[in-house]
Amino acid sequence: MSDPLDQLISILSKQQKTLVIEKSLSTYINSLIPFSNLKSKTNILDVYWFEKNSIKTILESTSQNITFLIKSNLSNLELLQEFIHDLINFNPSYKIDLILTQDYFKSFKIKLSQHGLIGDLNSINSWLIYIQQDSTIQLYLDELNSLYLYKNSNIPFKLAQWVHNYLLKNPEIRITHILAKGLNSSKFVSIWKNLNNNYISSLSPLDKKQYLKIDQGLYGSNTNNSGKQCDLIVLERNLDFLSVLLNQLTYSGIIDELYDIDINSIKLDDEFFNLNEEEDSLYDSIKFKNFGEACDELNTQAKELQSNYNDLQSQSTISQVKQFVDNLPHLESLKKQVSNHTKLSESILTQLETNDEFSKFNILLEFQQDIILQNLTYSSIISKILELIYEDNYSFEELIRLISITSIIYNGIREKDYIQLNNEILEFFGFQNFQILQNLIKIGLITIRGDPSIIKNFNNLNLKLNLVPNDDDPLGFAYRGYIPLITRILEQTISTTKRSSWDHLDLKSLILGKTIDEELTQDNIGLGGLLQKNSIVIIVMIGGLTYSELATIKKLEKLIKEKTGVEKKFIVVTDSFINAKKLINSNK
Amino acid sequence: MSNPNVYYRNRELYTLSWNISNLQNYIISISKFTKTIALHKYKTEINDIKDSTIATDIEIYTGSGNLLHSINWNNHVNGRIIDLGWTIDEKLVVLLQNGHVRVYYDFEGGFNEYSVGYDAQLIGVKSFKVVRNVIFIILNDFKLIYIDLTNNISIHSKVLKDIRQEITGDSLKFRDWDIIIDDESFEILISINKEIYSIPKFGNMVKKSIDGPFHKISISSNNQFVSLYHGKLNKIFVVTSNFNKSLFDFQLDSNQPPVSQINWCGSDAIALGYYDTLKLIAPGGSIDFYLNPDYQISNELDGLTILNESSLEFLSKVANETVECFKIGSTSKSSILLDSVDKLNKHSPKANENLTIIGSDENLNHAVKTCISASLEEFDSYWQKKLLKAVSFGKSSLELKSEFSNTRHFLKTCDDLRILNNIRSPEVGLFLTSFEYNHLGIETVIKLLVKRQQFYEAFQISKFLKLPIDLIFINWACVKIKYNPNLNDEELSQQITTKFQTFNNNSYISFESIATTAFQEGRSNLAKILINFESLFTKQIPLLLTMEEHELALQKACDSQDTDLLLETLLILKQTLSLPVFFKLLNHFKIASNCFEFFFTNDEVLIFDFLNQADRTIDIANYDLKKTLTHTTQVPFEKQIEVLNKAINAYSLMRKNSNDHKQLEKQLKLLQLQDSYTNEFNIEFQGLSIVGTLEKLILLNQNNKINAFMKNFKISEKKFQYIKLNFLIKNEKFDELYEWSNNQKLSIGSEPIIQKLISSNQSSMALKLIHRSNLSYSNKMEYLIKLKDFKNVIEEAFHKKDLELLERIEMDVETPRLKELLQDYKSKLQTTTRFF
Repeated sequence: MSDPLDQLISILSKQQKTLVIEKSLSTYINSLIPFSNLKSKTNILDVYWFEKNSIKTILESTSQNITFLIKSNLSNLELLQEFIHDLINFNPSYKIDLILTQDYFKSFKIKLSQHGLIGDLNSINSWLIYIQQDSTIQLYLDELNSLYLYKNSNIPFKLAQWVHNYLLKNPEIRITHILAKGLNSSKFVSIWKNLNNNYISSLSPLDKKQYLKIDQGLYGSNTNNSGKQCDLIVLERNLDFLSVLLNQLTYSGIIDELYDIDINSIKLDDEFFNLNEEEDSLYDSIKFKNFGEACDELNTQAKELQSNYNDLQSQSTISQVKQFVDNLPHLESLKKQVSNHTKLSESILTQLETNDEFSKFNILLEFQQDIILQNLTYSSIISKILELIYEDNYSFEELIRLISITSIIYNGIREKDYIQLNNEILEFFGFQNFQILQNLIKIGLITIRGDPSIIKNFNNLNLKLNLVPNDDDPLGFAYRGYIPLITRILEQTISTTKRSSWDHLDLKSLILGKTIDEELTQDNIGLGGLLQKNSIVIIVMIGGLTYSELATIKKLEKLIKEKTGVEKKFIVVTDSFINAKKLINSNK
Repeated sequence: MSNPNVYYRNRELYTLSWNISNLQNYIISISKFTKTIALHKYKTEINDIKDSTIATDIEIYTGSGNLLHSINWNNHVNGRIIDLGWTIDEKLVVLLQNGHVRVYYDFEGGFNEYSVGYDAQLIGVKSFKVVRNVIFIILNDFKLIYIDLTNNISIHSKVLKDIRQEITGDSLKFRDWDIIIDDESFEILISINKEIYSIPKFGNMVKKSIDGPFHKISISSNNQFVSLYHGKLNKIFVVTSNFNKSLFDFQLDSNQPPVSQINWCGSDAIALGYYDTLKLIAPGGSIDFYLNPDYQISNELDGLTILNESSLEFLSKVANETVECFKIGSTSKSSILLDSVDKLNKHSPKANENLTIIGSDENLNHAVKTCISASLEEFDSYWQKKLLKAVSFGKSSLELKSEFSNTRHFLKTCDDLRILNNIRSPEVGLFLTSFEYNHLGIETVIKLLVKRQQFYEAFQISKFLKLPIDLIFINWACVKIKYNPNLNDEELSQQITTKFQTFNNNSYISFESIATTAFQEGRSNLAKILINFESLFTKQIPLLLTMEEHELALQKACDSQDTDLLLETLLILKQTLSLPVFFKLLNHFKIASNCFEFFFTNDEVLIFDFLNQADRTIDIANYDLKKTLTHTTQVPFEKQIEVLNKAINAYSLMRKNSNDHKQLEKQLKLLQLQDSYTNEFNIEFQGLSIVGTLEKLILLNQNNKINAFMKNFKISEKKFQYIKLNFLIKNEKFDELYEWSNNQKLSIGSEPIIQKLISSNQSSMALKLIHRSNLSYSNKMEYLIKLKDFKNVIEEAFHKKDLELLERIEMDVETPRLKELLQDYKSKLQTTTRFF
């Protein structure tokens, strides 16, 4: 598995060309490399969008080498066909190359040949895209509806493939323990095992010998055992919808809920806003903090900057001034970032009206907290939701969030109440929501009491995992009064003194869905905490992760080190980042 | 030659004892590297007239003259053969007059056929060349066509250029052409009239020279040089392949007849073929070799293959190392080292003396290396041994006392020579030079052996070099299937799998091609047994699809859990099967049908048909609803009503009296009412929700209608009040709102109204309402604070002795008078507190 950028550069090659690119890939490419650099590196003469009205202008350009860089969605085929026909009809000596994302590469190729287009192409290449930030990987897949609504295994498959390829690239890492919870998680495990077996069996004898040699060396026997650990923990979205439904309170989480982060960029006042313009930036240092803390940090940074600039006046010697000037680019960049993020956070504050106790944001936050703490009785929650519907001040999605949260905390909505809620929502928001409501039940976001729910009994689960802690909790900064389930599971799973295990958690009886807790190498008694040192934990989240969840996972990673001195490296792999809007809309 | 250090030698590789004579009567092609010879006799020997009635086979011989394969040919059935050519990976290309080319990929008659197209059969072929893996054809109408066999997407013919459209002028005289080619691209050099043109794979035709006419063009093996033969001047010109630099020219003897063949000998010299001589021209001069008349030459990377009736020969430059070792009177270190072998053989003590003459270890090391290289150049084992003995002697003395070690190199050379001598044996007849052997690599060599069914040889070499035997096993099994039509499926599969188990010690070997062979031999049952040994889904499925094992293929695609693979399979099935059969198949596989529905969700007709045949009434209803109701404003009422009616029917069948059922009926009622309102008021009601409809009725002041509507949809008075409130706020009818809130006994209470007024910035009206209403103290205070009515807050808080509240608002109060009042009250309250 090569790095997406290296792969792209090598596929694009050095030949002079015109690039026709799908618009939705541009953010991604920009996040890999500034486009101007890519242009000069791969000798791109000019660039056009993969849109119908580009065809004419391309015909006017001089280059005879055209490279298409598009997603392998079958819906792209029609337009591609139009492009190719027009080009070939205009001049048969066009050299046309096609680069497709790997997602549906095989199917797209078959479609191409069924449409008789393949002969007109000089080459077809597949390009594997994923985004790696620190040690978090997202596959940039946008098809949550395929997972729960259509029960497709594409997301687990692509994730398993990524993990498989990652392990191939790092032959010294062997998974020693798999822990998985949920239907799709167990699919993931079987796919991953399959990929692995196929890989080993298709190795040539010499390579296989080499592979087994490493195995032997690492875990040959009790006496000859490195004790190296690498846990693979696989969890999925429907285990914990709460982390998506509750308002996120981390800096990145709030930004995502308000503006939908696309990799590192958002649209602010109709303008493109890059959250992370520089390497090693301010955003990296505050994105996983609670919004309030992040604002404090921004203030401190601003003050520090001011004092730095003030110092200039007091500096008299040439060397001092020189030092200052050397430092200037850094200061200027920081200044720009501080001012950008101050602007952003101010616009967030105005939008949320956090100062106003009766602002929508505060009322919803308060209400959500009342629900999860069960401060109100079930029936008063339902009548309050009804009132909010009548008030006509809250969006469809905000109300659905409340209903779903209630459903999870109170182990389902009573049928009578559901019918009423369903009725009011359709009356106020229109009949076109008929199916979304059906689908919400289908995927388990809302449960009718009596039907099986994913979390069997929230209070029991809470008792075991302390999801709604009474006291201050170091992980409690990302949501009000709630700690994400997956972070709690990780906290309870990962040990620095012994092998990971779910024996004490009894997830089987608490949450619906298959549980896998399987050791892939022999257990070693006596190695104690040693074997945990510097070990890697691969965490796979199927169906998307929220930014706030990620923040708590990162925090947990830090806490483990601070508490025990044992460093554990978390690699978090997910298909995409998710928020409540995306989750609910995926049921359309 | 005049350059004292350059020598050429012509060595016989094999004496041919075959039944071929009079090569001029044959179309001959000699494959590069392997020197495999394909012949097709096209002239009778008696009258020398082309006769299309002759039907002779295409015969393929090893370089040593053993018949490898004979392709039975009947001109009437198969078409007349125009020319033969070999690809670089030893596939035989047969150009036919009927406008097709056949590519024979093995020596068992397996071939693919491609059409040249562009009316080639009518227009006729002017010239034909196979270079690397690309077939080039010029038609008589000057269309330049190529077929790229390496294209992994699809192989088909393409027009590179229509030359007639590029060159103005009436008559085009085609003279010769050649092709510069590498892995990525190619460029054609073509001599027409007096010019030479370059035609790149992509881009425009460029004129390179106008100094012609050049009757022959030939490109050197390394693609760097071009030799041009000017027939009128009888002169050879050599230029760089970009035509930027002329390297040298050579005037030929005007007494000699015209040259019949021109080819490069490697990239070092140009060979000119005359009747019984071969003239070699290089920058230094020329040299003549006398040959048997009636021969054919073929260019190799490092020399020139010469075929005549009775022998196959190889003409090449003598390597520098060889010259160093063997030049008469040479005083080079390697020649001295070689001499010591003779002395050793005679047990002469002078052998050691030679080492002293060679001198330093560096010198000896150089001598050893030179001898190793020279040994690889020799074809005769006598000289190989002699050189290796010298190496052995030299290196043993080196290793004793210095850091130079050539052992690995020496052993590798021994291994290589052992393999080379083996495959060069006349029985195998695969004559590769050491350079070619390294260029191809051992895996290709094994492939070539397997192709010749030299399984034993291939197996021994693999064992010798500890290489995987996958390829040998697979080919063996394929041949086994092909040549054992009488063994039944069980016996045959038994034999193959037993062999597999003894060989593989559990490692994976792809059974795909074995099963494919079985299928191609018409043994689909055997193929089905064998395909189960293939563990990769990506290889299993395509074969199962070709075998028309649709259900099994789909099953495997589902098992793989790879959605891309599943979708690919579905796309293929959808194209091959009729829709009813395809749907029936889908019904058996939930995973597949889910995948199908997900990807084809926008293909209305298809999805509808699919759901319909599966009797999924609810899903059909939902699908229709989704299509019509998400764009309600565009779909006419009648259509919407029709869809809803259908949906109601479906739901009443499957989920009678469910909430969803009731909601549908309600929606139908709404639509009917909206339709009548639209007609009555001539205002569009379409697309509105129940609440939206009610709001519109309020706007229209239709009180009777409102009452009926509320009754119809069981809308409570409280809910209606909310709706009315929202309506008044939205439409900024604040006066009406105030009046409404005054006159009515409102079950929603005044708070929702106050809140709405506050958020709509109607402070004064909100205040009025606050003071009029019966609110709890705390709520009232919050509202007042929000409205900045601090005077009342201060008064009331004082009244309630709410010191805390006074302290809270302290910062917000701005007017001095109020500040004073607040301080005053505060101190009063503080004192009172102290008292108690």
